[in-house]
Amino acid sequence: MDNREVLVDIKNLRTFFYTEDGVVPAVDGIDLTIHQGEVVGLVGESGCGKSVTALSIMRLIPDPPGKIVGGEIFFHGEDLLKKSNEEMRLIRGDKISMIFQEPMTSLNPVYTIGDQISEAITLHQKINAVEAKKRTIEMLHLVGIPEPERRYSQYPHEMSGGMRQRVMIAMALSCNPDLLISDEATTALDVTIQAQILDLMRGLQKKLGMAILIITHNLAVVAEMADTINIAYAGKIVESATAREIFKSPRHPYTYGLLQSIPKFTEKRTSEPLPAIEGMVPSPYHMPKGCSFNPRCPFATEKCREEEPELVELAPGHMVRCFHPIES
Amino acid sequence: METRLVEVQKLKKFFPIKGGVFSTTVASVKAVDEIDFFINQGETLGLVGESGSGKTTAGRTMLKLLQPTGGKIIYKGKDITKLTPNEMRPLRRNMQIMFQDPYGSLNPRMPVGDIIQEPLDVHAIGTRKERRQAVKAMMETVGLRPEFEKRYPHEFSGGQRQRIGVARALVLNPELLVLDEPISALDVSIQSQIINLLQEMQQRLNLTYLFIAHDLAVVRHMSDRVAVMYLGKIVETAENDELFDHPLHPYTQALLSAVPVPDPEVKRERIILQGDVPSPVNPPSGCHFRTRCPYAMPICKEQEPAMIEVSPDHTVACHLLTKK
Amino acid sequence: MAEEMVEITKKRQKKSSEDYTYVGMVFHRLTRHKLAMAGAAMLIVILLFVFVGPLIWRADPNAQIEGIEGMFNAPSKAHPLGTDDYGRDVLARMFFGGRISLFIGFVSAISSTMIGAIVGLVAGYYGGWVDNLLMRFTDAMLSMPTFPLLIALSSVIGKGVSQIILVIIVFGWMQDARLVRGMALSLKEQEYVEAARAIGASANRIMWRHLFPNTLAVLIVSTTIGIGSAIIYEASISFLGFGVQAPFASWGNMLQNAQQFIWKAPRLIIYPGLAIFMTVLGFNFFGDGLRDAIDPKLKL
Repeated sequence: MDNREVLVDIKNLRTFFYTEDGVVPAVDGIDLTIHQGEVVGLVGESGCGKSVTALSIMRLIPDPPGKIVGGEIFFHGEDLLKKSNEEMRLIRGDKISMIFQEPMTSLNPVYTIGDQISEAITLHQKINAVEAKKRTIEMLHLVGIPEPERRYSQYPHEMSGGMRQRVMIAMALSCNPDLLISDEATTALDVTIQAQILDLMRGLQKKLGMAILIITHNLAVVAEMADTINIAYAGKIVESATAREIFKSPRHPYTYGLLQSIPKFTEKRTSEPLPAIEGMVPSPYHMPKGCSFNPRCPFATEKCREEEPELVELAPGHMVRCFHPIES
Repeated sequence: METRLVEVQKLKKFFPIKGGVFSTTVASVKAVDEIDFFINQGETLGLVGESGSGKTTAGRTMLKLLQPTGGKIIYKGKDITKLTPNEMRPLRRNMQIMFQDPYGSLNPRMPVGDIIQEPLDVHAIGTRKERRQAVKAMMETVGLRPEFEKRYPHEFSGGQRQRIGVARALVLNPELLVLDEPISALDVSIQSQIINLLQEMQQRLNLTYLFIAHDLAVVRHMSDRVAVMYLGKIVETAENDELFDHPLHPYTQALLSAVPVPDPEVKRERIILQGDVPSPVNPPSGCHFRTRCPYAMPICKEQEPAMIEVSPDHTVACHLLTKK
Repeated sequence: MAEEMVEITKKRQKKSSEDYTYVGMVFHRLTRHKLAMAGAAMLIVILLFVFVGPLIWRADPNAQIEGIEGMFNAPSKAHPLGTDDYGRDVLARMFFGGRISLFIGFVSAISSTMIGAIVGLVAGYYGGWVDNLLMRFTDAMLSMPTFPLLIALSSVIGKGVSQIILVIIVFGWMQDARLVRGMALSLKEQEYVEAARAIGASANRIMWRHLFPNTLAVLIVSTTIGIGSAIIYEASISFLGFGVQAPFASWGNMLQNAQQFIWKAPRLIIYPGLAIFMTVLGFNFFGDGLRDAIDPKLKL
């Protein structure tokens, strides 16, 4: 795995929002590596900074109030944060593309889906309209949309949620990106439709070989899809390892607690209460001192309340941000 | 012998679609289309289905928050289908509902103490002082600090708001509680807290739950029996382990196999259903599931499959099983 | 450098929105709204003028100076704004006229908003034929030509302050009714309203405890702007001679009175005109600011 070329390397990314109520450190120390052709999961609860990380990679942070205040994002060895807006515009949708949770708001309701995909293609590739249409229909076919010629001239509202998400994927992949970012792309879908879309994404990844960054709150989704998994909490990566490692021997108390607390679908019913994580996610306005997980952590000590732990490599490829990691 | 607390028979709820010059009913959304189920005292019936299956409508119609289009609702042996809102009011004490949205379900302009107290006010229970006492006790029970009674909902997190919702539903000491996706809007680490609270309350107060959800792992954890809905119909009902370990309806099988499992080492056989759920305005003839069913036969188009009991307390509506 | 910035900004954490009550937050946002603050300043000036002014300048607004030499006096020490055609002190008349204009503005705007709120709540909550009936009536009221009816009405009920208030209320509640109906339609779909029905709450309780408080912020805005337009209304009615009757002053009838002498003593038009202009503008600015302040989606 590691002898594959590094595609994205995020180092200590910090993205803050300067609101009228104060500063929100939405991303405050995210480190993330994506190799070429790798599927990487970024998992966390609301407010952990996972979506802001994605928008930071795309350089789509609304400014004001948002600002990337520190860190580097290397893509093919070049720092995206040093690129001009014009250079970024050429990268977006071409080399890096993104799909979102709600495909309806990402599609313009007054244009046909065919027009919208063709536009995305002609924006980045020097081809004429006829070729663009041909390529669009090819893409629609690729993402499993039946009768792509007819669907080409349909409007977004004529399609179901699952179909719209397929359209979004077709548009995102139309320029053969090196990286596809999927931000909760299956969260709004029903289970059977989610299974369709995940199946499609897996198939396309094998076929086209792009890297995928899957951003989700659903541990089961990344368990099925990702090679490596990064767990984010309160704007920081707290644990990062291969999927197998994360689920087999989680070392950070948060990861461990999270895995323990979700009901197991495959196990017989018990009347035992679930081992829940106490307390709640800290407000970004009132971050606790020291380790941000310490108020909820059963193993927290005086040190955790005072000092901020660093991300350290406990085993090859297994990074943990904790003073008292759980023994494997 | 278990006693049936509530039972619905051939329950129907259609929503008219108005159109044309004189806004006449041009069609209707067949949200719930002749379903039968019962819930025994003290148990949890899980009602699962995807969006558009009618599970939420079924729960609200059972409580008569929506007037049923047809069928019967029997509560403690009494037919409550035809009761007027005024006749229903005393019964509302015994049947409560908790909602999915921790933001929309609490009035933003009311302090939480008042929100929790409102059921007591409406039913004129006790003196003012006694009501306030009951509110504080209830807040403590659900894990909220009673001194927060003067605060407004926006000052609480999602999980705490759901606790407020639980407190409001339980302050009248009801018998039956409909839980409409009570945890699906919450963060993963908060979900388990609310699940535990709901289970603890059930044991302490001998509550009966109708647990409506799309998350099958949570349904498995919570329910004694499970009913699976598809496009307005119940397709399968069984005791919990029986349903999850031996699903018989092709839809149940596909649904269960589609659930992702949080363990990368488990590789499961997956049935990927083709296509989308058809519109409930124009459901397919015969069996509603036939358009996506991998085993569809000619008879499925012509005849609606009847609910048959394949083993004690396990009923399925599928032609594959009647053929045998 | 970036590190330092991070540290500094972290320390500069201010109060967050979670620490504010709703009213506190609206007030905080209002103070940052420049137009609203300009409006508030104008209103404070007007209120001070009307209510504190008479304590400083004690003159009888109806006392006349007999004889030709008392009429149309230019501003002087004895009469800071001069005198009018009857030799009355204009400054004193401006104070008392302002009180009456403001009184009419407040009472009629608040009352018509209340009536609009009741009609809108009932129509929106019950829907169906109730809604149809009330809203068609509202439409009918809106399509009536106000002024001819007004003149007809005043010949029946007479002229005077209370009659003017009544007339402004009768013709002023319809916009609020539409506004509240629209809000009630969307609010009644909220889950907390369903929750209230689930506990057995009556229709009255749902309307007044659940729907009404959630329309209140918008109604306050509407009332604020309504005061401004009621003052204009009063001025117009008085200008036509159907409003506040002599010898009582209102800014409206001062304006009406002065039009005969527009060439002789233009200042008699300028004073009440300017006062009305400032008051209405002040209420409108402040109301607009309030509207922006209660809208959480708007960044200020």
